[in-house]
Amino acid sequence: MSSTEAKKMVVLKSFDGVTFEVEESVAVQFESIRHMFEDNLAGSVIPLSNIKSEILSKVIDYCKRHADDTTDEEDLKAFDADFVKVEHGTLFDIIRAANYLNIKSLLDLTCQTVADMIKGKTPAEIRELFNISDEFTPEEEEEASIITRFIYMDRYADC
Amino acid sequence: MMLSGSCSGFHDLPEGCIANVLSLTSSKDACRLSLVASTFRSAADSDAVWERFLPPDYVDIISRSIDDPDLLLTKYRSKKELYFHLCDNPNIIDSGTKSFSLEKGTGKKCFMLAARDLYILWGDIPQYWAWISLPGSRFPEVAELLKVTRFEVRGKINASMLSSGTKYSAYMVFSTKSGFHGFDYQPAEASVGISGHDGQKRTVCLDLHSYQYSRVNHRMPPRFYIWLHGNVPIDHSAEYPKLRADGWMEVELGEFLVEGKQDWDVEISLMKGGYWKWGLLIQGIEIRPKAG
Repeated sequence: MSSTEAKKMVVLKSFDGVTFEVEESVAVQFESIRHMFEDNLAGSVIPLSNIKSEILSKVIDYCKRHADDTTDEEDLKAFDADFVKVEHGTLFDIIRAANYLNIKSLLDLTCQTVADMIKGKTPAEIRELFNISDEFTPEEEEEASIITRFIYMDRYADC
Repeated sequence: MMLSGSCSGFHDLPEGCIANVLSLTSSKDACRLSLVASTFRSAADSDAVWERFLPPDYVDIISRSIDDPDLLLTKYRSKKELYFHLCDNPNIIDSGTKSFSLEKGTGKKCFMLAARDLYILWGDIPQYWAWISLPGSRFPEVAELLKVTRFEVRGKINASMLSSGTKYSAYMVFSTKSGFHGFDYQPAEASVGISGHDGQKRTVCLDLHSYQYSRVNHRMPPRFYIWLHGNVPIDHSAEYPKLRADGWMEVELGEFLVEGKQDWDVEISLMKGGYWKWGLLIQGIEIRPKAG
């Protein structure tokens, strides 16, 4: 018990006011706010006013797992694969959080997940997948499509 | 910055994040995402994305260009424009002996070894081979076969110049003059493999008009064979020439895989013995990713 108590803790507060106590060894992965707790502002709460608790809790889970040296690589891969199996909105929120906190490995993982989703899809399929409204006029769309088709000749006429 | 209190959509992500996602896809995906919604346009056109689609050593390769390399690198306002320029306009490098371009869909490196960069048996004997300039060729010189019995052409490229994790094919890029002769009876033998080892062999026909006679009866003149037997079956195991978009012909000589950063030479050859032959024009050997 004494060894746990000896560990330095960092307190983070989410957008919706929930506080999380995190070991400093885990929080060091939050590159962009690292200076705040390294400057030894002991006991002070670090506000993360643009991350909601649901997302912050997931990000902390991820960082805890990745800070744990005892986890073997296979388990970590399985954890990562499972971690990104979330709704699209949640996934984008995690990307924003990872981007804001500058957690490179989490940003790579989540961006790769989205990249794999859009690879090989047509604009219409991507719009449907992410529920994006079609704001181009049919003329604009036709023009853009002609340009793309021209760029790729007819090999990629499905553009 | 938008608060994450509400669930965000793909198009609400900061431009840097969208660019990050796109740089993990392909040039084709990036072009298509720019058609999804206007908010994606600037990320999809950003240098951060297109720099990733260009090969890591493109600056080094362009510095070997015979045209002003600095001009080429500064002429284009964006990396995307440079990318498409390199796809559509083979860049002549290494004193005019090679060309460098990119494959549009993947951004992988393509090279053509000019005839001058190849070993051509008796290529320097003026009675057998001539070196001419042709307006339709990307290189200053093209090799014209005047008259030989033994035809032998070899090319070499170091695998470290090519994109890793890629299956490549080698193609003979050629044309014919009127009266082209001597490549009809027997097919030629192509070989592609690691230098110093036995390469993969392939049967290749350079003569599109009389390819049917190959292998069926190479001793008998084609016209006589047809008179005797009627039609002749096509030899499906052989490679036949195809017309290229630039007006030249090409025939596939073989394929090879470049896995990691590898430092071996790929040797490509095409040989044919037999009777007198003439009228063949060689532009070079192209090495590009195998389609599909």
